[in-house]
Amino acid sequence: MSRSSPPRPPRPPRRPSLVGRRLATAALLPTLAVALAACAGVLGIRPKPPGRAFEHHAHSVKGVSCLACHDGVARAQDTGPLHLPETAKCLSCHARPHDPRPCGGCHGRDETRAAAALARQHLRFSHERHVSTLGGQCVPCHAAAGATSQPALRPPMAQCFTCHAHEGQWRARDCDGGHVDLPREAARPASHVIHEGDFVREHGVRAAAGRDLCATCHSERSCAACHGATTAALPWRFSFDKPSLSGLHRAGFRLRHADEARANPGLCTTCHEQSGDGARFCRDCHVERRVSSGGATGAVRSPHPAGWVRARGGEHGRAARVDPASCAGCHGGAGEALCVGCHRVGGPGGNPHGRGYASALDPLRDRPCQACHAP
Amino acid sequence: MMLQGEDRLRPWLDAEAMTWLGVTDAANGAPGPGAGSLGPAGDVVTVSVRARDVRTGSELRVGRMVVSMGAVRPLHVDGARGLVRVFGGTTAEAFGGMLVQRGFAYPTVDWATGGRLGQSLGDRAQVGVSYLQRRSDGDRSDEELGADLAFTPTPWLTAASRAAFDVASKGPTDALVSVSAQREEARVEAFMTHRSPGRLLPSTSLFSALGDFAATTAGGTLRWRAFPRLELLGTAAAQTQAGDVGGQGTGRATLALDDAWAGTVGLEARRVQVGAARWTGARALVALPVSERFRLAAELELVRPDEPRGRGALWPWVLGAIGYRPSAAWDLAVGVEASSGPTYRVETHALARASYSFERSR
Repeated sequence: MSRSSPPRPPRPPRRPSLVGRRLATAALLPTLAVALAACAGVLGIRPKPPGRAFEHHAHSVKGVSCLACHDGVARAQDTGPLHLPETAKCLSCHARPHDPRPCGGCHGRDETRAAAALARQHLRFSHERHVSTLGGQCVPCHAAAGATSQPALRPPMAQCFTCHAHEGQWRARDCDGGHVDLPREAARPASHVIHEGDFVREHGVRAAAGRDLCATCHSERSCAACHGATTAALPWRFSFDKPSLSGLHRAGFRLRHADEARANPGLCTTCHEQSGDGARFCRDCHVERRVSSGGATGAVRSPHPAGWVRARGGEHGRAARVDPASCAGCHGGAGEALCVGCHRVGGPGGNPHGRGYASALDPLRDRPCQACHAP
Repeated sequence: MMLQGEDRLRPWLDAEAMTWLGVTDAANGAPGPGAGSLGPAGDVVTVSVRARDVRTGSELRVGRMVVSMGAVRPLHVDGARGLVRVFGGTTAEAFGGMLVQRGFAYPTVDWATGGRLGQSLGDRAQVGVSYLQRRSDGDRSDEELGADLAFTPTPWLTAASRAAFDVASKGPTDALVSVSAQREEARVEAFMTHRSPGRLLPSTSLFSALGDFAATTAGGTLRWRAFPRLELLGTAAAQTQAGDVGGQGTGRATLALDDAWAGTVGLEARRVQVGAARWTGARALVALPVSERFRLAAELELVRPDEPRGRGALWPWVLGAIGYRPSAAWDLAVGVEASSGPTYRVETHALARASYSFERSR
């Protein structure tokens, strides 16, 4: 006979000792600190420190004229060298430099020099005319040069407008006075509203009223590359190595195009016209993939679900009313006869017009009406 | 091979062109005679010459171009387009031409004409009315009246709208309204669209007499640069369609791998539930600049339809690519794309691109 001992009460959960808790805290804090530091770097919270801005302010306080270093800039025209001082120029005053390397390696930011090079390449600007007009003063335009932080030395365009009234050119979208070739310059305006959101949805409505504004930078190719009836492929198709670019029909659009079309009735018709050559767009591809017969022989699978056409209608009637453009993609042109077979006047298909149907077409003379209503 | 170029011959005269040449399946995949044989293909996307009055901005363009005038639908035509600016910010535009057909094969005489009258109200607003008529083999296939408005009361708030009316079927073709506000790291947009698919078809099509259900969508988009290298974007929209109410939404997070956003990692999720279209999708992408010359890219998309209906339970799509830029002029890339879809088990495509740009210095 076995003896059974009374059940032991459950042991209370063991609380970590004070030392254990301190150890855990000590381990957790550095981990959190490392994680936060990593996040700061990954998320860009702690940006890479910019290079050291050139000490324009210090030179100015010492009474050194801008032209003393930027030798020749007072005679500079639209093109030519940038007149940025070389190390030799620095050594003419700083006879005993603290470092044997070129001064520009540490003093002055590469970004600033690159911006100056871009400006020289893309802008029509004569320093000679401006320097003489301003009595040799540079700061009225290069205001940032006098500041210690120097966010950007290239004056913003608004700076030009403080003296120059370009209202006429602005209205005429004539930017050639200041820009060599604005489209090629690829300079985005400060507020580029269309490209900040969903470009595919927004650009049409924005361009409707402001097409000529778009045209100051975007050429005919920008529109025709997507909207052209003869385009070989959409531009993004050629940029397959840049997946972060937004665009129409990205990724596996072809897989889901049927469901995309159902979710946005009529949207396909915006580009894929259902007349002329455009009517072949859907049909050709479906014939090639054998989801439509198109006169082909052999096994062809139907893209329509079961019950699509029944003796008393089926799903096709409702689908056709929601998005007739999808039907027209394959059944347009001569394929319309398929509908007329049932939906002719007096036919078994009945009246295909929706409730409240109205049209300015002449039922006896205009083309689509004649299919059923011909005398 | 695509060829594109542009040049300014004189301050008042410029020209541009974009053409392509290639080889394609001569029978376009259809079985029968010629199946599997390759044949040449090519076309002109745009080729046009523009004369411009630099003083007023009035211009005349002749050639092959896309004309989009206000709210009426954009068309690709071989023809001419003119714009005249008169005092007080008024613009008058007109165009006319033959509708472009692939390979210059014009089976019927299809032509279109139209125009737009616009007025700027200071720098804050622009309004316009537009008209389009298109004829196919003598029959009127489209006739539309449109109105558009753009309004920018402050630099951070913009609104735009357009609406087109089908004169033949007597009803709205489509209408869009978009209002957006932008402040530093965030942008919010509210939009509404109304589209009548039956009226978007040419009135010569029998199907234009069938559609009587318009689709109306209303929604919003929020873009937020949460951190200097992290951008979040969300879009949600509700839609009514033939009495059904549905909606769709997208969420995307993009993490930059450097301050210049040259390398990025992105994740996107999407849900669509409108009428018979019900599916969930996810997408991931990586763009990684390995060096100044090499870059790698990868993209993966998975779509799961709610009702497979024999189309497979999951549709995967994947792409891997390498880009190489040996010089400022050359840009090369190769890639492989593979997918499994509703009508096929596996499909693989090899992709390649080589481009060279000629720059003429001033």
